[in-house]
Amino acid sequence: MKKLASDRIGKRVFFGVSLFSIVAIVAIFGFLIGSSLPFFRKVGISDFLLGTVWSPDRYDTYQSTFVSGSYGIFPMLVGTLLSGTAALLFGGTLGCFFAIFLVFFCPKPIKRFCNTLVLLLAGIPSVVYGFFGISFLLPRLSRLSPTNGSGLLATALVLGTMLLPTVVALYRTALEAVPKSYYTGAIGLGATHAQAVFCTVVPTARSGKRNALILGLGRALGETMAVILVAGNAPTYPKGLFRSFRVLTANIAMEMSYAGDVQEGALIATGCVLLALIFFVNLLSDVQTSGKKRNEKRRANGLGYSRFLLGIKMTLTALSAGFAAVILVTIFGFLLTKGIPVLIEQPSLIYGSFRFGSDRITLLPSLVTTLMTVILSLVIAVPIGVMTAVYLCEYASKRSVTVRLIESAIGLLNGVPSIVYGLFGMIVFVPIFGGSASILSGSLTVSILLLPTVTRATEESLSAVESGQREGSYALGAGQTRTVLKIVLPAALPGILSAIFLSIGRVLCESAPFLYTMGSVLGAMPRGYLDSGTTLAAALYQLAGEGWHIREAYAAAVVLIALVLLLNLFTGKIAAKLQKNNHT
Amino acid sequence: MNTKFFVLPVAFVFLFSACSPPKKEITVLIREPGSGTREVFDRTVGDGTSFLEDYREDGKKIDRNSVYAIVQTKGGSILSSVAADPQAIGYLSLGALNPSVKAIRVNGVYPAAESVLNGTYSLRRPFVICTARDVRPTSLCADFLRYLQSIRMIEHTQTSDCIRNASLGDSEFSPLDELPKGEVLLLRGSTSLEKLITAAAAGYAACYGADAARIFEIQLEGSSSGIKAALNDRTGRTIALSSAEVQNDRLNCFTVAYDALAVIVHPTNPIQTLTTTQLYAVFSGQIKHFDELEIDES
Repeated sequence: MKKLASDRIGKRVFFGVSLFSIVAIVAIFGFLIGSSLPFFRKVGISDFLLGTVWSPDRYDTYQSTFVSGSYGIFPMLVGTLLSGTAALLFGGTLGCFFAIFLVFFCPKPIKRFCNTLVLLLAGIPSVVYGFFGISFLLPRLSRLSPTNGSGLLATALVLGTMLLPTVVALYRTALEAVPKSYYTGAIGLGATHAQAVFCTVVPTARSGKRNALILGLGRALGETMAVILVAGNAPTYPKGLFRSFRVLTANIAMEMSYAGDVQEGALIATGCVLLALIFFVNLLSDVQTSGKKRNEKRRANGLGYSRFLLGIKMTLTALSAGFAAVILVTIFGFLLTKGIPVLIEQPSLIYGSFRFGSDRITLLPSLVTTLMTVILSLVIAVPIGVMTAVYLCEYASKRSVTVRLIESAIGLLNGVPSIVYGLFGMIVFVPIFGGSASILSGSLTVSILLLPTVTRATEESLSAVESGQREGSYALGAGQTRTVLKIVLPAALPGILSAIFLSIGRVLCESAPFLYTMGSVLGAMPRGYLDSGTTLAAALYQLAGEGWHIREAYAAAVVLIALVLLLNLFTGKIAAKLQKNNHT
Repeated sequence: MNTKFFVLPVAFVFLFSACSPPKKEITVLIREPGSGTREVFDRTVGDGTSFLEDYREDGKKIDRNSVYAIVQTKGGSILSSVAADPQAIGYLSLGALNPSVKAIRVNGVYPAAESVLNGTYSLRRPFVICTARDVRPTSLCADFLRYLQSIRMIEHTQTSDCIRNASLGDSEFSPLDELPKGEVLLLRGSTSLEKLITAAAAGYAACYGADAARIFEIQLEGSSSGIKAALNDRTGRTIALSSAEVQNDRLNCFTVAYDALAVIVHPTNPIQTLTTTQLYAVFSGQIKHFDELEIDES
């Protein structure tokens, strides 16, 4: 086949754009490590990582020879790992059983409902989880606690609920990938449905379960906003289920605004430690997955069958489904019943104008800020993400080193905690664009965050396009670039659209990346991208934390949830419609 | 499904609920390190020999706050936490109080304008306004700074519950013929000054019949962020708001008001007053239950 010029140009263009992800992850590592070097020179690495006292002095500068503050993060490292593990024990177990329920035991009529359940749980912003934690969970836990209920248990419950959808989604894919013959073979030998599932299919999907749990842990380790509201945040080890403790992410978010020079260096260094943790978790997951490919042919273990254990597993499966439904209903029910009356009573919350010095809260500037952020970040992230996916799916050879680098870069970008993105934006974008918070800086920060989501979703939809369509196009004489632009991309449109909606949902849900890049105070309507602003989720965090305007906080939560729900509904409808159009 | 598998979880739930709840301890609520509010509290509250924030012989900073204290980043969180918890104690700016909590006396003195100004109430701090020294402020900025030092601020401090008297500046402010030209002023810094500065901004704009939202842009992310913004100022229109004293050669500073820190407890708490020594004992975790304190019921 003759190589057309357009093919060569197309390949180079797509390749060039896809290098952006490598540039992004290298920049994130580079700037973070670079900005913490002065700190490491001042306070040694071992004092930092193994020190047990965190007592910063905001008057410490790099010029002074003596550092009077103490910057040891070891207790917080322990806190992060412990709370992540506890969250995994709770949310991971429930998530695994819920996935089993979804795939094998869910009755047909409620299957769609259950799928929507998971999607909705995944879409709830972390601020809403945190707000639910302090307004609903803590008062009930305080009956068991010597203080107000915050601590390890509350954190584990909230984080566990947050990582449940991740575990469910990944484990479900693994379960569905087990060859049907394993199940039917067991049935053929006389096993019941439950016996066949738990004794042949589930053990086969072991490595998929491990992968799901590892990635769920990564999600929990990187969570910030929800934890700040329920953990107590004393800079010490978690000394009990109900004792105040702090995690690394919360440390950064809480102290950044007041930090002096050396203190700020310490916080950026904390971001580096988080990056290292996530890098390690990713590595673990990769090693795990490549191990799986080698062991795929291993027979499932049918020995050790016990009726008692099977009964326990069945109970847990049923309970987990009920529990997931209960959580969702509780969260939505509680926040909606508290927030909708406020909205009805004060509709000016949504459309009122901001007046200086008055106590009136209006969400309109936040809604506008959110819209502006969504538009700009999509304009940047979608073309880059789609072009990267196109290169990876259509042009690249699977074995080339660059391709593996790009895919690792995307995997890493996916795992970077959102607060670390915020740090990166604060170090890089804010000084470039005027030295002060602006919507522009915030949008640029979040567009990098969106990149892996868009790329992965597009990759999936591109690979779902039947090869027959491509081959037909080639047979008619079209070159590769023309095929991609005219045949493949249009066919993958539903997937790309859902990637766009997923990204919008992500922007709606995030608040940590915006705290130090865009602004966190409810203020006047932004006049342009160089003004500071506050997105809806950040506004909710502000209102939730303040305490003056708790009723308005409920209302803001309702607006946020409503937007997320609408988005989900929309995505589902459009995807279904385009799917139908494609198949006619 | 065999019903005997439900026995275990049900028994567990029964046992759990039958356990008696642990004895309630004092819920100590503090601000995050680096907060101006916390700094003032920690440096003032002590038992005579040591303070909550102290320095060892070798110069290293010591934090004596209880390891079980709950750290929150906003004054408002402390307010809502204390209002919801009969065992809680916390501190926050006088201007942020509302009737959902009770402010107790410190050493027998209530926080009020008089006691703050004459020094009998010990927990006080200055609200400081700073601008960069080596950059000329725009004419709009200079005019607003003039307003902030004038006698009109007394009215604004009263509405925002901070304290100001004539010693901080009693010049008259007469507006110029028209609003000075200049780009939007950036007000950056401590959240504790939010009420005061928004009232002042509105008042200033009203002098010229202008819309405050067109003149000012406010983002409050903490005293340090305000100082940093002022130090990085190149255009002469950044004003930093600090809730603690500022010692920096590169900044011009003046005090615009005083703020008192109120110690708050739940309205059902019988405590009326605590000495600084008792406050130290509670906040450092030495005393864990309110009934261990010798309460002066007068």
